[in-house]
Amino acid sequence: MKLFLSIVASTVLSISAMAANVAIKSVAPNHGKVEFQAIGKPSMLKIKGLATGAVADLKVVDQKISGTITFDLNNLKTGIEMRDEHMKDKYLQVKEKDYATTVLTFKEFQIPLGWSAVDAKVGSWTFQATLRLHGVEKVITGTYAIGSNKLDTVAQFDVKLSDYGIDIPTYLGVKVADVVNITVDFAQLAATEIAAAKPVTK
Amino acid sequence: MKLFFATLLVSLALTSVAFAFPEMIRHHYVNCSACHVTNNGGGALNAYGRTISYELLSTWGGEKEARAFYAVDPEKVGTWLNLGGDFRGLQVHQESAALKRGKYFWMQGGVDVSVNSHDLTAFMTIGQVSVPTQTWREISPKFFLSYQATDELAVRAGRYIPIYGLNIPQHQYLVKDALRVGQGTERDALDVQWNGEKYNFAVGYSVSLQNSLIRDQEKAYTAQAQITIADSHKIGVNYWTGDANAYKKTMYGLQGVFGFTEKFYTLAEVDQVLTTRKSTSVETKSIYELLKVGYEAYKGVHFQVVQEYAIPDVDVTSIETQSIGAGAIWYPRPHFEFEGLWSKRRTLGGATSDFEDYAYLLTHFYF
Repeated sequence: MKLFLSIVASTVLSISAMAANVAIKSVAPNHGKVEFQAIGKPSMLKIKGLATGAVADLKVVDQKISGTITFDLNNLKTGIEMRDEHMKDKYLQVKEKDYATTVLTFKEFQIPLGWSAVDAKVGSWTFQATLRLHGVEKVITGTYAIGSNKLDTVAQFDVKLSDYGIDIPTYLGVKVADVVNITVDFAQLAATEIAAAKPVTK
Repeated sequence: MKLFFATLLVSLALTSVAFAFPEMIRHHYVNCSACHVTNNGGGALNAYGRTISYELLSTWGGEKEARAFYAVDPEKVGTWLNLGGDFRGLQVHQESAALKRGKYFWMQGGVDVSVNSHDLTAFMTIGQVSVPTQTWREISPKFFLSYQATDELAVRAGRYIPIYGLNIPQHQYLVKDALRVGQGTERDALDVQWNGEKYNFAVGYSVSLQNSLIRDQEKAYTAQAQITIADSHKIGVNYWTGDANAYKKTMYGLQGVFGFTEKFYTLAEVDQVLTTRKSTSVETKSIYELLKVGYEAYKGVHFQVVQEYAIPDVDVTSIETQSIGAGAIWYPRPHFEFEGLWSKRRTLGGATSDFEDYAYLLTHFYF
């Protein structure tokens, strides 16, 4: 999910930089990292997951972005094999139905006005999209920020596991908090990738 | 040097492997209670800690193998009961131009039992090895009852070592041995701890035992505050003020645990001790320092460099101890630990200022 958001943020920014109507597909899925952090109680254990890889299929018309970003949950790793197995098989249930794929959908989301890749201004904005996870769709709100004119992007949003019908992970006395924080960090999106986007005929 | 060797033997003999491994912060384990029954670490592992003993700590191993006594299945028994214990032997070696000697001895043997019900935990260590006689005694050097008021807040009372400085198993280090906060200094104590996501606080009161290594009844107040940074580093400050029959003591300290990567870590501590002998009213200021740098080259295989410095009286600058050593720790499978360190050490102002060789090989089995 974090990956989704990162890609989304990067993509949104990249597209906005072009100030044109464009279509973007598979925007540099390996350039960014998606990270989630969950808190295990009562010891306040920090459980961190990391993954790369996401696929974007977006278009921008009149500075409004629509489309999807998909991410394979099988890519997530927390550093402990057994924990990964529990996370994917028992809680995310990636082998059930289409649960392995999570989708972030944008519908005419207004990209920031006055921002361009040529004259980048560091900024932070709020975004809204629909996240489908574990077979449940929910509207999420998050923030994203651009760090430089190389489009270094960090996006963050929270996911409440119970909202998506995911059991609260519990293992041998350690219980994970319901809310999981997701961060997407997309560093130095190459200008060629931006330029590679082809204008869409209206 | 003989005195130092004897001190080293005693310190090592009293070392408890059951202490926490704060360097696990490199895996984002910001609080010891993730793996240990006690909030500030040490003692028996909890069920989750058993998992970590083979998933993260050891080179090889599996779930069943890591169980307490190879048998206690937490999935069946539940998390209300945690068992543990340690058996430890040590080979030490000293070599200089004037002498060469070594010794092997049994240094630890005890069983930990921890029972918890709702928010209450009762902990007890049963058994202690008498190093001089190499015999085992049926006594309990450590026990307590704790109440977990919230996820963060806990109160504890019993007999244990008060919280001060790094909670590490190597009690031969000067910051443990010279400060008298190592094994063998358990006291009747009470403390309140706050172990949060970012901050840790502990305040306590304790009275030392006449028949412990303290050899006096010191009444002490202690405080510790720590902050976690970026989920992989922790720095803290310590304070101790004690009043015994023979002396008054005040200690201040800084400590840090830094997990730079999941393999590269550093532990550091520096303390100042002010001791006033009541018989003379003379105040002595001492400084002790530890720096340990470690790297996990392969899962369960660590290489370490350890540097120590001590000046027992800053007004007598000609007397100071310098030490630097290198070694390795290997956790081949759950329940097993081997640690070796070879050091060059000298005490300026002593009979000789030449560096001497000190080495030890520790073999440890935890139930």
